[in-house]
Amino acid sequence: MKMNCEKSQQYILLRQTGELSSSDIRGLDRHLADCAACREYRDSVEAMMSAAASPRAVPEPGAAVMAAIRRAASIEADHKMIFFPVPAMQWAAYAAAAVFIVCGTLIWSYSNRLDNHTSQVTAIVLAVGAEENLDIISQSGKVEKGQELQALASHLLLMEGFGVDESLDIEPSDAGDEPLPTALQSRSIDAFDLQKCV
Amino acid sequence: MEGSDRQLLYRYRRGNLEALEALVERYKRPLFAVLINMTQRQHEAEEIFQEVWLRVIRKQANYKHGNFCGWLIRIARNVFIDRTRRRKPDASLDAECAEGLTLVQVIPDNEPAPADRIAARDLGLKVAEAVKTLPPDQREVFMMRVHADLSFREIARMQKVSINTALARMQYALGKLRTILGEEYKALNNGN
Repeated sequence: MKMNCEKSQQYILLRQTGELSSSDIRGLDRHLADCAACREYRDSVEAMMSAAASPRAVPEPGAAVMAAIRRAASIEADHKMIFFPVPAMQWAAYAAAAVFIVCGTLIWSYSNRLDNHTSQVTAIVLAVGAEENLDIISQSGKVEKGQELQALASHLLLMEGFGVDESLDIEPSDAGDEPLPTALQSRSIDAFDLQKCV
Repeated sequence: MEGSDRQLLYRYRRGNLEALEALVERYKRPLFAVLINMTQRQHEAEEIFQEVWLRVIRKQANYKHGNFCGWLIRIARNVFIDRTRRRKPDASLDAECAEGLTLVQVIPDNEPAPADRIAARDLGLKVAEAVKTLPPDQREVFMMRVHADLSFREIARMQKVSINTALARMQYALGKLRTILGEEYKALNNGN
């Protein structure tokens, strides 16, 4: 299909920017070979663009602006050099920060799980103590009587979201509704020393 | 200093100040040409020019690849748009401001003054003066194409229009320049 002049003039502009396919370039060349008006258009566009781009046609920013940019660049470069004198240090710092965040998250999550586990173990110890009618001495030196241990165990299990019946073979109690005994507030196995079981 | 734009930016990131200076020098003219046509004021163009390079210095990591000059002009447009939005519309063009004249009558038009016409003997200056009279969208396309050497695809993306619209704006700009330049246009064609 023969190209019209309107299309050809668009293609002349697109060719300058390398946005014309090779088949369109061939079509344009064929049109230009036959069309003096489009050849004249192409030459004038090129001449006008080159005249507009001539150094005399474009003013320059003042020396003060250039000096301000240089100053800012220098300050930024110095700032970087103070914190990261060796380029690799910047990446090392990023890597260290990433490792710190990942490890911190893992440790926090593990300690949470450990805490839950510790509470369950404590509850079992208390329940066994209750079954055997033992007295268990807490770290504060207070002697917990066997009867009270069952209530403590029930409390702790309810606090951890376990049904008393399904976790331990002890009688359910309504101790969960009562305020938590002081001995359990630390919620740690260290609060009860097994070696001191009587 | 030799090297691609990316290499120069990389060297500056590694503390080489001269690399950034080389980049500024390389794009000083195209960027400033676009700015001066965007703002029509030397002082404002200089302020934006400085702001653009400060952003480049601070946000150099944002430049990944592609046309560095295009990136500069994108930043420049954003700075210009921010400044225009911040500026309060504090005057009406039709309101009388002094001696019974409206602002439209007071603000100098884009036509070169007679003294400038005499001074503008250089063909480049004549084209530059004629470019100032183009509508902003067409002027921007012309400047981005001529000075920043951006493709029509890049210009279209920046102006948020289709490539055909960008192309049409360039064609309108060239047509108007042809009319404005008149005899000079013929001289251009004759290679003078």
